[in-house]
Amino acid sequence: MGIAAMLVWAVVLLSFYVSGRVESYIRPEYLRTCTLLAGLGLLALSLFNLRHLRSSVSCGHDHHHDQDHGGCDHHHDHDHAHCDHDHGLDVHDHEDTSISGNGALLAIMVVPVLVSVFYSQDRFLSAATIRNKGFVQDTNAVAARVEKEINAAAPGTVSKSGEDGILEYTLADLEKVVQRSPEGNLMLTVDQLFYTAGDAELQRVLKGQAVEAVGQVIPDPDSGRKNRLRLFILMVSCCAADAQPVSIAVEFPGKPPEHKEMQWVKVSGTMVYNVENGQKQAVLKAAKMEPTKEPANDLLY
Amino acid sequence: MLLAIEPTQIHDSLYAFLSILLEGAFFIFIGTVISGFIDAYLPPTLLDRLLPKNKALAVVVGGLLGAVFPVCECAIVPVIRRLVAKGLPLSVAITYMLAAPIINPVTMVSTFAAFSERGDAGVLVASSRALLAYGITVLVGLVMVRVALAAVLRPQIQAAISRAGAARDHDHDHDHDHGGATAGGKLVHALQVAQRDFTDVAMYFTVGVALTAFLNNVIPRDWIAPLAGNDVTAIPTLMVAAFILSLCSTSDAFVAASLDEFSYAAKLAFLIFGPMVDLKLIFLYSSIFKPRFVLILACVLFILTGVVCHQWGVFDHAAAR
Repeated sequence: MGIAAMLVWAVVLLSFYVSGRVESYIRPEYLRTCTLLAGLGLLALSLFNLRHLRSSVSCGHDHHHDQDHGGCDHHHDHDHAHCDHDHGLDVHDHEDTSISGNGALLAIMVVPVLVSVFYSQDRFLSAATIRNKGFVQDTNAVAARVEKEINAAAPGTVSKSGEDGILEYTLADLEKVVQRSPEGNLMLTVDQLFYTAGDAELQRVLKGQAVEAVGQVIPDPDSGRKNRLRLFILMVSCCAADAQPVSIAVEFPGKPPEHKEMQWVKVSGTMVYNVENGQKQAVLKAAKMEPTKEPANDLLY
Repeated sequence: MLLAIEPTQIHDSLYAFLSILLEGAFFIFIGTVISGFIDAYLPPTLLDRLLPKNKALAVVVGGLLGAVFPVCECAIVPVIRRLVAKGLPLSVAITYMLAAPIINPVTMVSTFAAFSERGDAGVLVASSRALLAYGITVLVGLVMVRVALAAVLRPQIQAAISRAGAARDHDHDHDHDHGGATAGGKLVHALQVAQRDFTDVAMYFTVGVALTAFLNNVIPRDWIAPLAGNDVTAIPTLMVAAFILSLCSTSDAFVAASLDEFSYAAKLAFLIFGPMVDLKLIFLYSSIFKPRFVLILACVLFILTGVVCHQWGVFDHAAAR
């Protein structure tokens, strides 16, 4: 039964790897390879033990003889030539520490895995789950990634000198690394827009600019405003279970257009920055919101 | 404060469950393969020979083993299970088991990176995490020197230790044919043990992960924010959060670093307590130890970590002035 349970795990791991489903679950750079190695390892271990199943059951002598004879100095005279383990090292404990009964093993190790494989939608479905995870508040949480992406303009090539002689970050700098859509909107990601709330220079550059961003939407009851939604993407450290939503507020002139909770949307509008609850907030004053396809890389690693 | 659970959150829990399972399977697999090879190839007398004879000194060394043999908290359990069965002193085993997920190079580098990325003192956080965890685990190990095996270990593990002890005492001057001691025979044995250990540990892991995934999705993080203002509430709050979240020690620092409303001492408590005791580990530890002992160990570590981190915070404030 143990071998069968391991085979199930091996098949699940390998099928997730081969189908690419694994990328919706864990950080792909190194854990994807770990999934492959674990799947192959478990498969090899299961098949190896399946092949050698008889070597453990054909060993019909008393497995507790060393307890019975512990410390004695007699000589064994039976033939262990058929027995594939080493008495001298006391590896005589075929089931010594095993605690999993067959039925329990199947119920606990296999059933939840198979149920999850068939019923998991490879993403979070509930806005309540997202809210429970708590929106990231600190813009430094995405600093390393975003600074690399949107502060990448070569200094001095586009920037102009400020009053103090230090190079200022300008819209031209930003346009060097951020594309505009056919409608003329700066195409930024949700984490980039979120980050700007903690960067005065970027706020100066982006304030009043036409931007667009893609993310999932959920209501924003905490804001106390009926014309607001939260646009978010999920940031993952290791696996989806540790995902945290990175979000910005999206504000409409009136009631938000029809949408489904957790729907992927593209929102375009103008950036403004408000101080709310003592904290600077990036707010996208939306002119348009339309459903869009879920991007291939829906999780931010 | 009532938990309202939507039907879609069950799907979300299945998703989170699989994600932790996919992440942990590799490490449990590696741990159990190591445990199989330990069983087949490590002579029981070797540990006696390698470790200092002085029990306290052995515990002190045990706390540092993670730096040399880095193992995460999922992989360490099957390894410890087998090392204890092979006769590793319980006090040393527990010290190694608790310390290894924190005092290892991967965890220290990730802690440094997570806090440095945010402009915090990465070196200070990484080094104080390792230092305090080492102190706490050695202290627990020293107490364990005086605790009887029978009060702590599951009967199956005790039986295995008895057999290992008998083998050590046994006169190996046998004159019968040990054909099974061939290299092939040992390999078969190692992999059979690995398979059994994997299924045992995976069974507990699955239960722990299922609970973690569910609670992780349904308990609002907002609940903890109001408790952040004062270390007396913030430290235990973050330790409970670490217990429920059951994050991997190699990545938990990224979550801790984002908890801006909490003090340095509370974050340290999160980073030290979580890798030693969390929901999935409670189940994994139960594959070695009696449930009562697991409960006592968890409570002792909770109190000890809380007190030590609180005092560390007081010291840090005083030093900063």
